[in-house]
Amino acid sequence: MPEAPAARLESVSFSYPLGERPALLNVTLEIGAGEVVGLVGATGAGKTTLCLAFNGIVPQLYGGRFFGRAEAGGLDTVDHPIHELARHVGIVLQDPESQLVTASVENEVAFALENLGVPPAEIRRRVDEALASVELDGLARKHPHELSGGQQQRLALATALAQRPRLIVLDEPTAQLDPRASADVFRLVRAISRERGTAFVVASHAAEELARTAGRLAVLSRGRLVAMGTPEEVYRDTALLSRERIRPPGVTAAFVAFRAAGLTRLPPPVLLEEGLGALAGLPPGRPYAVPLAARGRDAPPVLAARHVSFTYPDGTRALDDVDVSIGRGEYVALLGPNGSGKSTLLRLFLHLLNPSAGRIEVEGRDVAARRVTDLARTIGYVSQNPDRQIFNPTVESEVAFSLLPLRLGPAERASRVERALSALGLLGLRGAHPLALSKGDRARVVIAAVLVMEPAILVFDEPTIGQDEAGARSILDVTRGLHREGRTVVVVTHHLHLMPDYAERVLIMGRGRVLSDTSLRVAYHSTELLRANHLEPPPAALLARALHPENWALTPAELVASLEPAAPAPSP
Amino acid sequence: MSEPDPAAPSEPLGPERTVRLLGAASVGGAPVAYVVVLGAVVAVLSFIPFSVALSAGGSFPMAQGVYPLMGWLLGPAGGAVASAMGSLVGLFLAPHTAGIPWLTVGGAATGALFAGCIVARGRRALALGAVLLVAGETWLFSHHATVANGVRPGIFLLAYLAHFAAMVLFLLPTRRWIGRLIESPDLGRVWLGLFLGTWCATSLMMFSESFVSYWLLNWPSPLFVMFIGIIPLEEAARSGIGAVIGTGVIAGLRSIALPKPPGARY
Repeated sequence: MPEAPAARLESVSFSYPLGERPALLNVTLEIGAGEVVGLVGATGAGKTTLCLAFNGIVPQLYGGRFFGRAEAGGLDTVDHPIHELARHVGIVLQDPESQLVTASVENEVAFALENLGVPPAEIRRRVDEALASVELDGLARKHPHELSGGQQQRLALATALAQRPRLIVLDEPTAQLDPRASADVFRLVRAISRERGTAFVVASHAAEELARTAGRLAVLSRGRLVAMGTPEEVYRDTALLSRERIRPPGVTAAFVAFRAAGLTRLPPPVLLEEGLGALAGLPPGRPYAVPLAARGRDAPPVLAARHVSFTYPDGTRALDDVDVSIGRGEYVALLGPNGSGKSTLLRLFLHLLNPSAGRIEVEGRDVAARRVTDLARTIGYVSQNPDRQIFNPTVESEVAFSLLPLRLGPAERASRVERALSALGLLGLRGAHPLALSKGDRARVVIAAVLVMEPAILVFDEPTIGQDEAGARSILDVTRGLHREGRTVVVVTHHLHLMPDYAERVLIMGRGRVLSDTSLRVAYHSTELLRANHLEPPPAALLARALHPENWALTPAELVASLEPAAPAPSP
Repeated sequence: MSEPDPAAPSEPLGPERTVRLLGAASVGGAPVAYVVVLGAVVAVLSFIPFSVALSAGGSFPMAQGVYPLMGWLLGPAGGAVASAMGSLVGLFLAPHTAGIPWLTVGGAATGALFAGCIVARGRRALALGAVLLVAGETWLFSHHATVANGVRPGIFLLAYLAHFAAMVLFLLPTRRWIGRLIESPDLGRVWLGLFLGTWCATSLMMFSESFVSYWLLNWPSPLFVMFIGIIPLEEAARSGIGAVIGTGVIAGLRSIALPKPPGARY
């Protein structure tokens, strides 16, 4: 007899109490035992709501209107309490810190089991087993907040695993992780699903990892389930992807371009190794483009770290003799794995920290002599989590708040607010509460609140986390616009695939040092260096290198050009 | 691959279900998680000494301005527990802001309970209990001060004028009116409602605390003269704190549509 499904939704619709339209509409979906199903769709498509519907948090905790029937482990999610459903469905959220509540790793895993009344000896056994499954054995006595982001995410996964649910729901589990940590989480999902028969639902924008991990992909659009198929079926459907603003794996995008150019008839592969294998069927590659040094090096430096080292009070050496300067008007991408020192360097520039050795200069002046409030007028800082910078009841008041210390006249104040709202496309939302907006719009509010001070330098810390392709590009388009106005822009990111259209210069950091300082094209083709630092080189660069050792193409369009013998080589 | 159905209905197909929170731990209907989070807010605000409160012999913590807010956000029972729990933690973390510890914790709970009566409708029994309690305290307090200890009645009346004004607001239909202001969609009216509501609730709370303190300590008569200026100032400060913090919190909660506990009134 076939095993009962881990979860089943039948014509499920749901509206939040103040929702203007249903967050879910007539979703019918069955999750088989041991199956991995990916949820894809643009920001606001309903992925998180669907995740929360599997364990009854939607609708029980949110209220609102619920239609249809949802079952997990055979239990109706409307008629059974959440704690009962939790035995059958585990959930891991985007920000692991939000669900870590105890003072040690082992207590964290034991906590849910204790609440379920599991006998102590059994708890001990399950804690050890779960920690071993996520490769955290040996860290059992550590405080969860001493773990890296990737380790915290794995710990959250262990807490879900220990309850031995039939289904684990992961909502954007790798959004805040570097590519290596992200790959580790997906590797664990594959292993646990295979070895234990646990089913997974994974909402994610990580196309490469979903293609490798999911058996099926469910495509959501404005609350509807609009397509369901294997990763190959979904990622090859260019019309669907374009309509639903979904990014395919880089290798798929490249082969779609090859097909469109008539260079191959092969169906686009979704895995990199398949793509590398399929290159043999393409015309021979040739040298393409000459890498140049980044522009702007001759401009006067506006941010400079002069042989800076920094050690945290607990002895962690975050920066080690960093010597780097960024010129006025440059657009620099700062890359590196979690813990490489990127955020520490930013905090030193903002004078939120003082260097243990060396000197930090902003616009040629030592920051030690400047107050943080003064620096805030020169350097605008947009943090990784926009919600941490939002505290006013309307978009307009949030943006205007930044101007309070400047003591401007009412006319100048109103004019600046108007300009900032207009630049970020927020005029229509000026009266809305910032926390009622989508994450993309919240990020725009924070950028506007920074922009209103008209700083010469703008620093963005992972601005595209949790954004879909369109949302990420719209934010980066704003940064490009600011750069074109002559401002200096620094963007910290793990999303390498997004940056070729924006950044000119790349700094790669690792273990507290600047390992590479070069043009974006050269950096993206430094595949060994990137991999050694937990960064995944863009598939286009890997395909280009496989085609020809002097092929420096970075995008599918450039790859196509590099295969056309008659095409003139563009200047990079 | 399954493809989209162009004729897909735009209305829900399945039967509508009755939505309710099942089996979750709650205090008076307020989920324990809410109570704990808001209790933590009270504990944090207990760190901040806000003024010199001579009646208690020390400074009063900023948290006193938000005890009533707990009553409107969580309902009387959940609010009382959150306030008491937060102020109890605050006693250990910031003892300099607590006068008589057990009285501080009890006062925090009654502040939320009084606020729980200041609503647009319902809770008549709770309000009646509050009225009887305050009436009894007023009689005992005034008798003890004026008859037993010789404080001049006029001085006593002036010293606690701000609190007596709050009692009048509480007794009249203004209690309902303030409740309606707090539930108004207009944030300006919410601010006004929170200011007046906090004035009422913390005045009743402080009057109760003062009564017990006086019974224990018997302040000298000249101190009542000083109260004439100090008490209105302190009440204004508490009301301002409650209105500013409360308006921001309520605006945020409404915007993110976090489910309200059944006893919440905002």
